[in-house]
Formats: sequence, C-alpha cells, structure tokens
Amino acid sequence: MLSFIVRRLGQLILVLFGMLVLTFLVSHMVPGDPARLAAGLHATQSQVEQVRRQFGLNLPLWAQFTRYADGLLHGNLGVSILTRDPVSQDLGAYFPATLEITLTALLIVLAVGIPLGVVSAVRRDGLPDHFSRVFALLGVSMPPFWLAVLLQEVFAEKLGWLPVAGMLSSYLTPPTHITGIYILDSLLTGNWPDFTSAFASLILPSLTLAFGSLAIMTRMVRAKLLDVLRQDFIRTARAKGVLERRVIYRHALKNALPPAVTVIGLQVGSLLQGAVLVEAIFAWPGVGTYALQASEGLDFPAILGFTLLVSVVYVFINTIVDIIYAFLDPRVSYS
Amino acid sequence: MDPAIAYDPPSSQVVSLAYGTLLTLKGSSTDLAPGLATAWSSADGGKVWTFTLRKGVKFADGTAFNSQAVKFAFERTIKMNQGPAWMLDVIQSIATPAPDKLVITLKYPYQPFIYSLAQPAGTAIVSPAGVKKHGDGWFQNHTDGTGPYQASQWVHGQQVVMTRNPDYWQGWSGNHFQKVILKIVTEPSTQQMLLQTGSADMNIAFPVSQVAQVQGQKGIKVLTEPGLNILFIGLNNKSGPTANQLVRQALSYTLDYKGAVQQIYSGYAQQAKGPIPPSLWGYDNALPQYHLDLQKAKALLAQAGYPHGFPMTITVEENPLYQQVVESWQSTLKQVGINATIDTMPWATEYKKLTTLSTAPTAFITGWYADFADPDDFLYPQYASSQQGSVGFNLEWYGNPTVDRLLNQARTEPDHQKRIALYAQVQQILEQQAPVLWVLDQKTAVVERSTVHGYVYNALWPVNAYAMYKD
Repeated sequence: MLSFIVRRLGQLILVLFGMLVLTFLVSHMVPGDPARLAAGLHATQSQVEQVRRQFGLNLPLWAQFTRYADGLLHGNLGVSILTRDPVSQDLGAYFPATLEITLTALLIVLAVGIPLGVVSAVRRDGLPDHFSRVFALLGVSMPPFWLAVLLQEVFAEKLGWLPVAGMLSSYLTPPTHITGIYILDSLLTGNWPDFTSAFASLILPSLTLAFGSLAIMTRMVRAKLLDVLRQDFIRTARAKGVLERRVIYRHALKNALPPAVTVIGLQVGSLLQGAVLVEAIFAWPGVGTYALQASEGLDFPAILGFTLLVSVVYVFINTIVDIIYAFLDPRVSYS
Repeated sequence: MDPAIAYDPPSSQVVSLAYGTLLTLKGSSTDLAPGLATAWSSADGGKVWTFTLRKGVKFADGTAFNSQAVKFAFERTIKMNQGPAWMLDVIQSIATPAPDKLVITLKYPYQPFIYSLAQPAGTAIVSPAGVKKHGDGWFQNHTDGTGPYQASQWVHGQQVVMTRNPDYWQGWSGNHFQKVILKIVTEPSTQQMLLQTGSADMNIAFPVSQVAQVQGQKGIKVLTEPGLNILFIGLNNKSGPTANQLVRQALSYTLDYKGAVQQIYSGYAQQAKGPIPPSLWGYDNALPQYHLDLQKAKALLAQAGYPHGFPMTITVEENPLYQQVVESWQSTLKQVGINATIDTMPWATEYKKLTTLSTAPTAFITGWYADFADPDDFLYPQYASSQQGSVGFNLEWYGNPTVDRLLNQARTEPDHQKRIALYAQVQQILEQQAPVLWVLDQKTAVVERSTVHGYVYNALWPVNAYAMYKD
C-alpha cells in the first residue's frame, strides 16, 4: 500500500507538470494583452509597460514559464495581475468557500444517493424506483442554472425560508477564521448566529450542485446492487436463512459500493466544474468566481494557480478513492 | 481600495464614499461645485490653478486636511503610476503657500483639468499620516479619507461594509445611514431577487433588460437616469472601403437606430446626436442625426464605387446587447449588398486587434464612459490623430488636422462659452465625416426599495449614500 501511495505521488507530480505546461501554453495563445487589461483602458503606454515589466510579461515565453516554475519550487504561485495579491493568498481566501459547497454536495450525494439507490433496487419497479428514474432523468437533463433560479424563486422569494444568495447574512461578521469554512468555524467558536445563517445559506447552492451527481449515484448504486443481488453467494446467504436486511446491507451493498465509490472520484471533477456556475448565481465567493475573473482578465498566474489547485484536489481525491476501494474489496491489491 | 490604483466601478464606489476630492458636481448635473476646495481660479490661460481649501476638515485618523495633504496625495498617485494616474499627468508642480491655499501649475494650459478634479479616480485624497503609519499597501484593503463612510470590513468576493465616519465635515444631524454595505453580486437574476425580497435596498446599475420585470412591483421604484456614455460603431478610417467618407456616410444610414433604442435597450437609451451625450455641457441639440435610410445608403455606396456592396468584418466583445445591435446591423447591411461577418471575442483580444492597423477590422462596436465631465474626454481620446491605436482610444484610426487644431484650441481656451463654440465646430465636422456611427446614449436604471429616499444620481458620483435615508 505504501509503495502504491508513493507511486501515486510520483504520478501526481507528472500530471501537475503536464497540466501546467498545457495551461500555460493555451492561456498564452489567447490573443490579448493582460498588461493593458490590468493597467486599464485609459492607461498610458508607459503605465502598461510598467505592469508588463512588473509581471514579467515582457520576457520570452520560455523565460516566463521558467520563472513561474522556479517560483513554484519555492512555494510561490506568483502575484495575481488583477488583485495584485499573491495567488496563494487569493486561493487561500477563496478555496474554503468552494470546499464548503463541494463537500456539502458530496455529503448529500452519499447520504441521499446511496439509500435512495438501495431502496430503488430493493423495491424494483415499485414507487420509489419510478421516482428515482424520473429523478435521475431530471438530474442529468435539468440545467443547473435553471434549477438554481427555480430554487431561489421558491424557497427564497416566495416562501422566504432561505437567503437568496451569499455565504452569510450581510449584517453579520464572518466567524473567526480557523478553516475558512463558515459552518465549521462558527461551530468551533460557538458562534450560533453565524452558524444558523451559514447553514441556511449553504442549503440552496449545495443542493443545486449535488443534484446531477445525486441522480447519477442513485442509478449507479441501484444498478450495481441489482447486479450483486443476482449473484450466487446472495442466493446462498438467503438459503442459509440470513435476514433479508443483513443480506442487503452486510453482503450485497458492501460488494456494490466499490464501483459507486469510484464514481465519486469522477464526480468530484464535475462538482468543481459546477461550482463555477453555482458560485455565480448564489454570489458565493469561491475559486470558481476567482477563476472566471482570471480567465476574462487573462490573469495568467491566477489561471495557473487555479489549474494547479483543481488538479491537486482531483488527483488527491481519486487517490483516496482508490485506497478506499482497496479496503472495501480485498481482491484489489496495488502492490 | 487605494484611490491611486482603483479604476473600476466597484472600487470607485468605495473610494467615492471614503474619500473627498477638491471639487464635485452639482446634483445630477455636470456643473462644478465646491468639495474640499471652496473656491478656485485659473491664470495664464489655464496653466496655473489656485484653490482655497475648506477649513476644519479631518481625515478618519483624526489628522487635519490641508494643502500639504493634497500635494502628498497627488504626488503619490503620480509616483505610483497606476490606472488613474494619467488624470494628473498634466501637473508640473504643486505649491502650498498656506494650509488652506494650494497652487497647481500644469505643464501646459489645460482647461479640462478642473473637471478632472471633480471625480474620484486618481484625485481622491488619502491621509498622508495614514500612508506614513501603515505604508502604501495597506490602502488596498483599508481606507483613511475625509469621506462620510470608511471601510470597516471587506469580506473578499462578498461585500464591503462602510461605516459612518464620525468626524465627517458635513456632520451627522438629520437622518443618515450608520452603515453602507456594498454587496458583490454578478448575476442579474440574483440582483433582482435580492431587491424583490428586500435583502438589498438598491441597485445603481440594474440590467436594463430586466427592468420590465421589476417595474410596478410592490415595494420597488425604478428611476431612469441619463448616463454619461456613448455606444458607437467604429469604422476603419485608414484602410479598406471605409477609408472613403462616402462609404462611412452610407453605412451611417444602414443602422436601425430606433430598433436599437426601443428593442435592444428596452427604451433605456436615446439615439445619440454626435459624440457627446445629452447630459454633458457642450452637447449640441441642433446637430443633425443619421437615420435608417437604405435608399440613401445604396445611392452613396454607388457614388463611392460600391454599387454591389462589399464584404466586411465586425468585431464585438462578449456583451449580449452589443451583439444584438451588431446582428441587427448585419441584417440591414445585407439589404444594401454588404455581407458582414461578425467576429465575437473577449475584449482583451479585440483590443489587441483594433490597436494594430494590419489586423483592424472594418468595423467594431464599443462604448465610452466619461472619465470626467468635460467634452474633451469624449472627443480628444477618440478623434485626435495623436490618439490612434493604443495611445488613446482612437480605434477607428481617424485623423483630421482641422479637428486636431480645434480640439487643442478648446483645451486651452479659458472662456467657457468659446470652448462650447469650438466643440460645436468639431462636432459638425465629425458629423459630416462620419468616422463612426453614434448609436445611442445609454440610460441607467436605478432600482431601489420604496422605503429608500434622498438619492440623487450623478453619473460620476453614483453612490451618494450620505444624503440618503430610509423610512
């Protein structure tokens, strides 16, 4: 297992390097002048050149990349051309918000998707199964933007139960920073007004984000469980008089879960993608918002920083998933 | 939040609340009014400007506002040489003969200078004591000015909370807000919902395409305010068929101006009359306007030697309203035999293309928003030949020695009425030569809750929260 983890880390570095080179080249291929954008439309040529020199944009491409890579080896992600703050500082400020909705969405996918998938399989062709079918169809075909606005209209505007947008009520001060995740920080510091507000604010964006992945997880668990329930060892267990509940949860589900767990790894990617849209609609200040601004402004250090971050998260999560898979399925070995 | 760096609308809102300027504008107009200067005069044709400063004004840190502070703030902006610094480029030296007397000598006589001091970008005055104590970098995330509200909290990506400055020189008697919270919300549907639910009290630049959805709703009022801006379609004046004046005049008759105003901008605009918007002094209401007339267009094209039209490219950035205007134009152009291809691209990319003559398209659409309330701002950067390419904003590569002479003359003419007359001449020539199609002057929709009162719109000072109150 240890050698597996070490090999994976090595792969991570290779993947990151490849992503960096690709993103660097592609973002520089887009015609446009980030120095002019940052200095402002009305800036004089000398001001534009000053910004260009400040950010090394006057250097040849290979020199810019070398300079960036060298900084990276020293833990320096460069300075954002737009915010003028270190990219690592910006990402540190914006990432917790994305983590907050992504983790909550993942929790919803697991906590609702797995049980719903089980019920659909066990009560195959029954009402829950039909419901999950319709739900899955909606999940993959409903545009997240539309769902978001619908949820806002119903729960925020018409019913007034939840906030329209934002991470916290405008009248509250954010909780003392520990993790940057408001719901955690407010809980850890016993700040109940903030906790209540953060919790309420989290519901709609994380539901929107979770919806598509939730539908996929439900159908995946259902399909795998039905597959496993047809296996001989399940027939044996039933013949031995094992309680049906135990058959399903102790024997069948344990064998159906590993492929479903793999799906999580892939879904993390789509959750991070979806976060960009969800953050815009719910005025949620995460890295999606940051990345959008960076790409519009040709803010190369910020674009590269965001790409690095997403790549690291994606590979890290999938490594964890593979490890969990090995624990769930004793037949799997990475040595 | 640093006034020496801030140059985009959201940052300018913070700066205009936290800092003061020497001058300001009267109400909704473009007439000068006293700010931190109570009186001013010029000499030497506009080369030397003398100001009497307001007494008894303090910065938020408690230190006194005086002529030394202004000198410090202006020299700091010039030295930092960021976005809005060009506004003060014209300054040669600043003298402080007394704490309440300031003398600014310019490099050359330049009448628009006084108007550039009546807006916050680059000219808002920071506390020298604040800079000495905290350093320059501190001002990116904090404020220390003479304005009514100071930044007390900035939750990045979410909101800026501005809290009352107890030492504000205008005082706090009467009904005023304790706090002003500037929320960062980019999505128009979300902005609308925040207003409808009362989670927000006002939006000073509501998307015009959504105004119809909130108009007449209980608890909401919509104010329509004239902007200081112009939407125009630039034509390549240096190369291709549009280098010919007759072709440019012909094209000026091919746009459905009314449709653009009524349908695309939902009535929140009026057709432009030349390059200056109606709320700015110097606007000439008697200037003739082009209109949709395909017969006239065809005749002019034939006269120019293009009876069967010609192919052309129009570049447009990713702005839905601009794209709609260009698409509408494309369909009317077809009717005069012109096949136009529309190239959509991000502004950064488009700007690079426009500022290089070899890649400049036949036409492009863009807008101009006032930097300060002087016609020079709408004319010089766009039509002076020295401003072609990336030097200024003369992206249509227009050049006319007579226009250059008149513009330079107007820059140095001390008599206000004579300046107006000079600008009238410039506008007549431009109208004739049609370097661009002046499409419309966009209005601003300000949407606020009915409980909010006291708001007075000014295009260069959009957030006058000090004068506002709630039921």
